[in-house]
Amino acid sequence: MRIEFATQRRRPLPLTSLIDVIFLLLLFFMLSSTFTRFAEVEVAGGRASSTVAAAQPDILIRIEDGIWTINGRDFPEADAISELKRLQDNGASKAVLLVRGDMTSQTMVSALERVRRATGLMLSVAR
Amino acid sequence: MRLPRPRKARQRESTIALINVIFLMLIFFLLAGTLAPPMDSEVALIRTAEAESAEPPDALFITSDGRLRAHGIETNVGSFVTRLKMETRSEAGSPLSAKVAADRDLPATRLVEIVGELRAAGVEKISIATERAAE
Repeated sequence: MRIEFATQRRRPLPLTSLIDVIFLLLLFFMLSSTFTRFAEVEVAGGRASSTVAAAQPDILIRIEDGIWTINGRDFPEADAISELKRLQDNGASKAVLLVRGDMTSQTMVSALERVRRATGLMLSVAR
Repeated sequence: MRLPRPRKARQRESTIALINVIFLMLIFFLLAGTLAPPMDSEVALIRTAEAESAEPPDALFITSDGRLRAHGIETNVGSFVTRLKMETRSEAGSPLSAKVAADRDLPATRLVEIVGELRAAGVEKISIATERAAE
């Protein structure tokens, strides 16, 4: 006579270990990921020695308390960009941003970024 | 006479819902975040709005008083460049590039000085890492 095996009841999947692993993954990604978006601004130049002297810039920019001095003339920040554009249209190609006094890095990089974006000038930094 | 009622067997809390939520959070962090090398906590990055975006920097950090830090320890230009050269030796031929992450209050003269030193040490492409302000 043939006797059927008793059908085994399926055991439920062990969920605890699964949760453990997922929880660990969650912790790892929460702690090691960042939501800040980064950017980069390239700087040319460096010391006011060989590179700048050799390049003979067409435009000299100085910034002090929000006043941009471009080739000796003072402009408020809003007009400075249009002045740079005008100079570029007239044939200027190389510009140097002079870093003096107590200018912070934030000011310098903001200025670099603005000029790069608005004009096609080759901008370098000198001290 | 008062007799205690038979106790109801407590229903097990459903773990499925818990797992679902945790799984959703996991997927959220996977998709929304970017894995980043640890940033130096002493440095508050420069903010920009328009610069081209880049991956999180593994950079030379400069604190607001001009100290150089890399990988969590203080360093100087020489040893940073030596290490950079060792790390990028595999891809020979490409110009040596470095990222500098300066504090936003660092005097710009000091920043330019360090950039000049890096260039003198043989780094050809130097960029300043910034964080993008939310649009």
